Amino acid sequence: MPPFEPFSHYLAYGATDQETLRELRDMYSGILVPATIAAFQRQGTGGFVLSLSATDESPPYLIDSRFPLFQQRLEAPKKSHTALAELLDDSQLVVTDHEPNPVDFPDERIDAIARHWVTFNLGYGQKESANFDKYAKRLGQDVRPEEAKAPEAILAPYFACSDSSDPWWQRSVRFFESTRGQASEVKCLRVVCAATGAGLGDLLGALREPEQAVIWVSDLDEHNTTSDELLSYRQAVESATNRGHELFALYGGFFSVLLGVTGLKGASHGIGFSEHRSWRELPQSGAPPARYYLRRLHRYVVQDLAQILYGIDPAITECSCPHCNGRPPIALDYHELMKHSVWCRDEEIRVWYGTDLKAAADILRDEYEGLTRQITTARLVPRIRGRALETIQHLPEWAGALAG
Amino acid sequence: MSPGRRTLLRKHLPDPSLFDNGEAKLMPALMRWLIATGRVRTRTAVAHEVPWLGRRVDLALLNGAGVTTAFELKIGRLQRVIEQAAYNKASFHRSWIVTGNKPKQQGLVWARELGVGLLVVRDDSVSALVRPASQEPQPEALQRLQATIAALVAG
Repeated sequence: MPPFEPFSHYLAYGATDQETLRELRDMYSGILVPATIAAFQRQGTGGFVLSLSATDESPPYLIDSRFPLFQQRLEAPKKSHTALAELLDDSQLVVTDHEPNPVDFPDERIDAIARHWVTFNLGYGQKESANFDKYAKRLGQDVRPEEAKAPEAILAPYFACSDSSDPWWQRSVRFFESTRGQASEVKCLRVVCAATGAGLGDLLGALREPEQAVIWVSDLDEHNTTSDELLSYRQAVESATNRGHELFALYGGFFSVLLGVTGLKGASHGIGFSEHRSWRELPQSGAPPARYYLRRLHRYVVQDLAQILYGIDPAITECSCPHCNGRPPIALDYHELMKHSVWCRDEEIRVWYGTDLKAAADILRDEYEGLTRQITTARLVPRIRGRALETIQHLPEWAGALAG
Repeated sequence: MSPGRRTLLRKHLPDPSLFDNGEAKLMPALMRWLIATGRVRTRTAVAHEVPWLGRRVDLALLNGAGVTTAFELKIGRLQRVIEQAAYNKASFHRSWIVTGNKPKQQGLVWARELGVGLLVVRDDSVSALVRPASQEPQPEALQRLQATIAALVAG
């Protein structure tokens, strides 16, 4: 399903997640491939993504340039960073001794990078299929390289910006225009990466014509932010939607699903993690931690704590997914945890997408009150009680942002 | 100490001076006690710093019958280690706290209520203030834990 058909559910590709992506092909809409991985694990990523795109389900995919990686000093650049810079034919992108400035990206340099990026995207469906057969075998379906698809659209490279007065914004605008110009007939999407929800509203307000755009508020951790910041985010989405824009979130969790009713068309997240990300943290990478997605809390919690909550009342962690299969949280192994989390998000979209905001707020408040009562009346070690209460603090914040 | 137990001690505590920092200072006396009381025998797998559910268990034992025991070591306030010991109950047959101080009454109350053992190590002497209750861990978690300990010991 393309990213702007609501409510689209994209999963960020990671090498450790192949099993989940392969087996749960009907539980997500598409794949977001980080360019760092596409550049560094070139054959493996290409073989996997392209063989998957050749299946009957044929999940569409997009390649995210992760370009804010090069908007900062990289003290200890990884091979994937240099591989991406080489792919863009600009090894100077990896800066180790100072913070880059917007003036370091004159039009000619941006145009050259955009040209290489477009070439990479346009050729991806054919040129990156060296390992196609290896991954095709694992799919258990007769798939052929000639059926592999190109990316759904080209995501233009972009910079993270505070607002439209930020000099990086003009460079980001140039990136989009240059990429779109060189992509010719192929669909090209702008990525608007803002430091805050209010900043996002300002940046989207600077777009003259209605368009489909990918949005990212850096480090917007839905579970650890105030209702005011969430409300700013919601208002930015609502306001842009009212002006005719169609938005897809590069990162998002359950709160983003709730924003579907305000116009958000879809969201992406990593399998088992990465529902939010700071652009400053792009240089970091790694596999998701083993955590249990707790449906009633709409968040990941460590398995230990999930098991304690199960001990208070199994209904708190109850899950009807085939991966849990009636078992307690601690029973699930790593891959089961990952599959369970994807199943849960799919279920959340099926059950909650389109829910009226006030109704959703009421449900979340009731849930918060009920869980608070259960946790405070259970006989728990004080530190465990404290942790359990911490894990539900987002519920009233969400309710506030939805009802505000 | 019998020759057999001396051999075990050399195997599991080859150089006591390696345990000279923080909570690890409790380890030599604890290991001697575990061997002297028969909790560590020839077929017992002994693993330090076992990665488990995103944290590390200070010391884990897996005996020949598949029984697992966790030890969490702490010098000073017990709140954090009581929390860890409480978590361990779900996947270990027995869960112990090992401390270098005489615990406050509240710590003893929680240990008894949770069914968690409490050992106090002072100098070289070890006293068991509370004995742990034996519980049946969640079977699949136990299986993964046994495999983790065995893999660590196998190196």
